[in-house]
Amino acid sequence: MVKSEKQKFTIYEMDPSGKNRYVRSPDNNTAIDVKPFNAVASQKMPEETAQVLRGNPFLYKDNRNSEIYSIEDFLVVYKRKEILLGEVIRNNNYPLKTRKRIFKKAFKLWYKDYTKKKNQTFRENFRTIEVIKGIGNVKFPVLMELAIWIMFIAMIFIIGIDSQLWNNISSGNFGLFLQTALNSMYNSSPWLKTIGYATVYILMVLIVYSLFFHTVIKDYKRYYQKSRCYLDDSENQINRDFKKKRKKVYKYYKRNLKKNNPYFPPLSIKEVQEGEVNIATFNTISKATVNKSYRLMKFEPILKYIKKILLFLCIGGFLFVYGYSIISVIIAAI
Amino acid sequence: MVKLLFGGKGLTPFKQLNYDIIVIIILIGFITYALYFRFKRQLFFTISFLLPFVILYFSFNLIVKAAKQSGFLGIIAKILPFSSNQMFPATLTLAIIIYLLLYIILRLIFLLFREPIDKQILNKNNIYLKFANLGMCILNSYVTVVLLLFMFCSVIKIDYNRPITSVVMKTSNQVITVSFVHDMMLKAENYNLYKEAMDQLSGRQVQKDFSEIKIYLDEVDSINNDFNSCVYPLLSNESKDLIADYLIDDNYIACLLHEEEESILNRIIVFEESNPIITELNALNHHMNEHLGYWHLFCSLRIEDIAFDDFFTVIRFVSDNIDNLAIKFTDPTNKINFKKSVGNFDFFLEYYYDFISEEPEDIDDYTQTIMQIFSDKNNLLTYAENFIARNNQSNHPIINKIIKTFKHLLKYELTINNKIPLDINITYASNYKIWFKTDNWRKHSVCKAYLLDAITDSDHTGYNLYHRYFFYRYLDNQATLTLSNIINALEMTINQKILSEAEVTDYMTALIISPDSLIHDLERENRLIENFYNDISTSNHRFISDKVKQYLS
Repeated sequence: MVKSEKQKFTIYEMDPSGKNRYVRSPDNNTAIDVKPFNAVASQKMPEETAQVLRGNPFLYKDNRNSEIYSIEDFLVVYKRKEILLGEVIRNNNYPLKTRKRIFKKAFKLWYKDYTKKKNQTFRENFRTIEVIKGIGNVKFPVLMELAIWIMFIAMIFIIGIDSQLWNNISSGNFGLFLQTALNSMYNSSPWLKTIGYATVYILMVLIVYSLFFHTVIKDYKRYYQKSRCYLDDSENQINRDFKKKRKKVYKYYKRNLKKNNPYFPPLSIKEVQEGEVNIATFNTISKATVNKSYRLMKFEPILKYIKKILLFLCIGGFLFVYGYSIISVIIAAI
Repeated sequence: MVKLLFGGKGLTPFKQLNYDIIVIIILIGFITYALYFRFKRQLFFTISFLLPFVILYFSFNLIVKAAKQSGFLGIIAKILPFSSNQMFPATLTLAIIIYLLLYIILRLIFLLFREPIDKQILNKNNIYLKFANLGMCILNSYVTVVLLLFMFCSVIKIDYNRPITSVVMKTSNQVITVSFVHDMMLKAENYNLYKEAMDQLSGRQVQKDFSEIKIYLDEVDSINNDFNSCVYPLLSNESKDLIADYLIDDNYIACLLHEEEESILNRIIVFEESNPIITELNALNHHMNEHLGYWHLFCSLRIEDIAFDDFFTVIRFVSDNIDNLAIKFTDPTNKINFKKSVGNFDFFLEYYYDFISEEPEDIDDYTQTIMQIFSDKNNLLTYAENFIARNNQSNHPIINKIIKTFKHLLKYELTINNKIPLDINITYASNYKIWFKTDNWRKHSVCKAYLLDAITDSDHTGYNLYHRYFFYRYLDNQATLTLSNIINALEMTINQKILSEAEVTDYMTALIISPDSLIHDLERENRLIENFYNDISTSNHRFISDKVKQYLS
């Protein structure tokens, strides 16, 4: 039964001292004439805002355009009609039992919806993250990298026979013999020096490539580990935050409804909505990790082929120049 | 691209390392990194990579001073296997250690400011920051290129005339100290080229080669005479009979070399086994085996009746009979040196009449004519231009070296200083001011260590150039030099804290003892007082080491 009488409301506002609480307004004696059932239902709100208000306050993302300040601004369905939660729970025209039931029902719905979405996001993302674990296992083994550097130094040594280093080496008889033999080899086969220099350039490319390759793979590994840790941590944090907020909201409204007191300050949306670490961020980071893995997976075969081609050319050039040199030195010695 | 790779000289590429290709590879590598890295990471990397150079530039002299006082530099020098008495390797190692320390400290500091993973994903870099990354990547590439160039320079020949490489070389500076040291090393290398070119052109090289051969010939001649007067009378009759069978015109050398299954000398050694003269005979045999080529040359010249001091006849003979003579050399070093000398004779004989307008009477006449041209700046420049125009198509390596030298000379003709020798002039012509006015090498400990090593150790690769540079920059104050002139000037360098007393003694020792020393040039130019060496022998000055006195005695 709806009573038709003039009601007095107390006005609350945010604490001017900056504390996150509501205090009585200085204009507390202002009487507002409220006509029941016309607060929201009669207003035409933009569809975008209505869409947000139909959503879940626990999943609410701060949006400056939508003027949502409290969980009470969200819409609930009562008798196939959408009503603001605040309008229901503060309205003495509804019996307390009904108000409690409406609140509990809405709260349960939001809780279920949030848990479902959260679990779904966690499950899907963790499965994907687990699947991509094997990506990025291609690498230059340490021994191979060492071999590349040794080949580089050795090639510089064998083709730089007119260098200062060789001048020092040739001060001994054996060094002089080697230098003379190699010099005559390069004079009789000038193309050998061309092969030698070309091998040096390719080795240089291979060194730069291996360094970059190493950085990319190492970065990916580090990135994967970090994002994995981040996701693990954020799962716990999201669960913990949600549990805390859910309890707080539920207790707050339950307590005030129990007192049948319509004059309590509405709980700020900030006490309800997700924090910095939220399901959306979790999702974004997870997706970014997957995207990164996908890109790496796509390039992995190319990286491998380039590595193989460069290695083949370097080892070929190296063996050819050294083989030819050894034979020439042996012939010169004979 | 083909021109870049092959140098625009047809398909005869890669005679020297084309460093431009390495630069391009490094640049591409850094660009890839710049595009891959986020701005903050690139910034941190650039700062950690470059800032230590700047810190070292301002503080390294103090660090070296402290390291010297604490003995840390000495410990490094002892640990390094290749440093012996040299300070450059130890100083450079200290610089590397400090650099690495600074790098690690900066990296650790920057670790504190590293972006968390969620920020990295959620905050995307905009395109302007990528451009900033590219700017930083060019700086990083430049420094890497300079460092690599320094590392490569002593292990491989680099073609410094390539466009990018020459730009890198022109921008050598003291902030990235190794680039300045590299410039110093390159100067030493170029000086050797310019000196060789000028020596070949002026006939000094063939003169030197000829006198070296003549020393050996005179030595063999003296052995021949000694054998005749001292050894022969003490031999047994059996040996004397054997010698008598083969002796012609008192040429004992030819006789001893004569072989029938075994050389006569070896047969005599067998005969004289119990004779006390066997020691001399064995020494003779040892000398013969070591200088067999010169023994044969001696015999050949005697047979042809050629006087050893007849320059043109001797070098023509040697040049014509190189194959027969070279084969006689058993010692590889002697053989290579002999072949090199004959190569120089060949070059001289082929070209010398092209180098001067009139036929010279002898080698001294030729050298004087050339030196007269060199003494006048205008004549020299005209000569250089004509030489290049005349010989531009030549493929002879020595002609190419002379052309390269003249081209360098013509490029910097305005800064020629007539007071210093031409080859040194050419070497320093490109940056005369920083070497002869501001003395930039003294400003950084690494450069200073390199130069001090170079002037005090005659085996150092930079000795040829830098001990001359030091002399002309700080000591050459009189037209005719006396020992006291040099010592006074050296004392001034100690007072100015350029050298320490020990370094001055080492410099002086190398100056007197080393065969490559400038003192021989001064002697040839008659710039030393007549009893210069006597003064040194009798002097008790602390700069004159026992080694010098021993050498002169």
